[in-house]
Amino acid sequence: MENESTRAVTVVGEKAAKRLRRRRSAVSKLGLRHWQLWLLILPGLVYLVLFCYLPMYGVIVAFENYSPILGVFGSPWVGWTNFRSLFNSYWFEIMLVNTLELSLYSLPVNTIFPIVLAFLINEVRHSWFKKSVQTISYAPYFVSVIVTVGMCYTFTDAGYGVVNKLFGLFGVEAKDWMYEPAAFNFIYILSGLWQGCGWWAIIYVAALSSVDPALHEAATIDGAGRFKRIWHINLPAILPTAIILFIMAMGGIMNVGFEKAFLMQNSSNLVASEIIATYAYKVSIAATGYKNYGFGAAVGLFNSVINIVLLLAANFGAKLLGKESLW
Amino acid sequence: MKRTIRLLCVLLSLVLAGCVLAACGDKGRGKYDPDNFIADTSNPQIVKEKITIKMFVPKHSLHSSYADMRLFKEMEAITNIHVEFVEANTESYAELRATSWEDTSIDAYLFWNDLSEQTTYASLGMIQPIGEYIDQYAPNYKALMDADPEIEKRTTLDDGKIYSFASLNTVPRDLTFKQFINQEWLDNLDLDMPETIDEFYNVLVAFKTQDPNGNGFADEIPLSSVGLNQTRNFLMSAFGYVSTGIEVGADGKVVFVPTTENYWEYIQFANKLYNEGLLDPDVFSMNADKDLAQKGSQGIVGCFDGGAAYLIVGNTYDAQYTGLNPLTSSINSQKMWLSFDNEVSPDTIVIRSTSPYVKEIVRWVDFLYSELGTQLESFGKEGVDWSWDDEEHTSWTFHVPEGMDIEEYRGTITPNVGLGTIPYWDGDFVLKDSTVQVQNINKAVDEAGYMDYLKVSYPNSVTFTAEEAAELSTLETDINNLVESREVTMIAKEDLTRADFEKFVSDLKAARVDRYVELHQIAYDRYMAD
Repeated sequence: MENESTRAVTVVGEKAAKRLRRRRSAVSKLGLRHWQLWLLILPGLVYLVLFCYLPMYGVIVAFENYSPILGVFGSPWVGWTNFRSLFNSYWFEIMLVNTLELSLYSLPVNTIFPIVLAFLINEVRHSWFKKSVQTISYAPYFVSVIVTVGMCYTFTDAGYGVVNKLFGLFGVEAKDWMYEPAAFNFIYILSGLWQGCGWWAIIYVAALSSVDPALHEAATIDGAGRFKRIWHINLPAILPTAIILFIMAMGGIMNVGFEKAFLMQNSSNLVASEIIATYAYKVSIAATGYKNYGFGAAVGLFNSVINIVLLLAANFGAKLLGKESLW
Repeated sequence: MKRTIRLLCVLLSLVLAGCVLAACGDKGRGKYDPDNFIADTSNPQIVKEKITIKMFVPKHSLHSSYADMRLFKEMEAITNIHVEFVEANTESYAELRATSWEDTSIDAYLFWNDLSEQTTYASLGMIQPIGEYIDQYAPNYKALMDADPEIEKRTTLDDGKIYSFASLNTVPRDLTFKQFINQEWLDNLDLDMPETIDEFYNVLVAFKTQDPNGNGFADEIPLSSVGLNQTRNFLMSAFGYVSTGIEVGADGKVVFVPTTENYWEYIQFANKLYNEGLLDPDVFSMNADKDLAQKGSQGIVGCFDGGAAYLIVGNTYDAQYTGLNPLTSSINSQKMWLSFDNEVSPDTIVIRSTSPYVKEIVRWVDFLYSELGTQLESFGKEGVDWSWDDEEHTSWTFHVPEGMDIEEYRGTITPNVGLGTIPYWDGDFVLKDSTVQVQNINKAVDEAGYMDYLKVSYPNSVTFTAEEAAELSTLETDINNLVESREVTMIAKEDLTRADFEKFVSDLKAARVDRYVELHQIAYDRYMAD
């Protein structure tokens, strides 16, 4: 679609260029002969420059002992000190491992389960049933994080929690699971899956609807069962989508949802719940005394660099495998 | 279509022009007229013609708009000064405040002027030294300063000048935390108020086993707390330190309490209480006072920390509780209690050097230290919000409208709600509040004798250089995280051994606790040298 329209525009543009070339070669070099197109793209460009590129100068705060009084350009320059104190921190290893664990566990879970759900929804014949399943499964997506975490606390309470009542039937001792470091990752990922599974499945359901029914008919005639058809037709059909989404997810691996980890955090599970973002929050914004914004910015920069590296690596890997890639 | 667009354009230009005009209007405020000021401090009116002063203030969610508060309306009537408030939400206060300095029309910053910030602004010449003005135009404040040399010491910066008014607090109940114990239970079991940590332990055991509330069930929770909040300080003070953080020892040496043997004693004791069910098993999973109040309101909690007993146990049981006095132990014979170190805090107001109204503001602030000002800023107007109970003025009653919460109502009178700061929180007036619950707090503090044993852990007025502060910020998070998570684990552990503590201390060392202490020592020595 996009390619076609671009091509069409180019063709029109070339005709116009021929007319203009004699008159203003300099203007045509700048591409101003398509000034209408430039005008169309202008708001987008302005937005991008104004809100995405200009604020980037703020990244120099990461190399400063930043004080709001002295400002971005007036604060003393400290070089790599902020990064050094991040790497030298006693908690650095712990929180890096926690961050990566959360990401790496949730990545496959959040990729595989929505695909399976999409397959299941796709196989349902009754459209009313299909629609209700879809609606019910993506409804939790609209529950806010704070409510979700509140539910987690309630459900896992040692006294009245549903989870403990259920475990009690199997003779498991009642525990406040939100206060168990070992249970943190599990609760985090499971509640995340409950919230997001139906939502993420929508994309795959859409991709599945574009599969040519002729393929299924041909396969049925050849004697393929449901599972065979899913395996050989549906899966290859949504693989490109899955790969793209996976690559994008790799780019966000260090950006583990801050709010949720922070809300789920308490003194008892701190060893498992302290992630890089919550630590940076404590040192910078939430600090009671000196708010070390420079450090916060350094952590943000560090995260971004790792994210970009991982994104490029995943993209490169996908390319090597000869599959879909971002560029 | 075209018409709509044209209309839109016209509207937009109007809006823009409006903005420009508004900006002009802002700059063009009246020229300063020196003759307008009334220098005679016996005259409550400060200026002849009404002037407007702009102040930057922190706004808490419990506040009604500053302009609507009784205090400032009354002050405007008395002083003839209208104050325009720039309100900054307390949640994002620091950022808003930092950017507000670009607005040169702001004359002063009321409340929350922390010392390190003052030092920075003073060195940049952005705030006004007011020492001389205080001598001339602030008789009420000057009298208080003469009575307490601490005020001058705390407000004077390194350059020898005074830039701020101090906020003063002379109400004992607000100078420390309160540990409440059920006196009626003690009486029922014929027990004395515990004096040592061992006696305290016996009391807790008796609370648990002898059914002090007499309902026939062993439903008592001897000791409870929201996440050990101040209870840790209470227990720690029996073992020789008043806090579980940075503390200055008797010899002037700074120590980090969790690395001491005293802390190990505290952990063992708390661990024993926890494992024997004397300490509430939910202690670490309660997050807010309301969690504890759920238990307290059933009359089953023996001992807890809090701002006031009625907040936890409700009005039904409020009278049963009194303050638990500081304890001693085999390793510490000295009674001590944590002081919040908030009698004098140099944070009330700073005036910008660009403001022409220095004298006016100094007089305006001085009013808040007068008798009338103190009453207005704490509980509002006599005869309207509160009234004397008798001719001799021994007590007064606060008139809260039906269906309104006390703090909610006070939020319409004064900014002294939720902020924890007020120019003068005067014991002479505040303590005369006849509300039963308030009298109970005063009584508890009095009976426990906290005021006689107050000890500052680490002075609030110690300041750090920018480099020190930056280095401390990560160290502090590292160390606090460690203490926070290990304290819980060690106290809740069933088979606690000395090795656990030694591992904890060696981890603290790995988190460079020595450097953390050293930085505090350097700053403390600098502070003491002044």
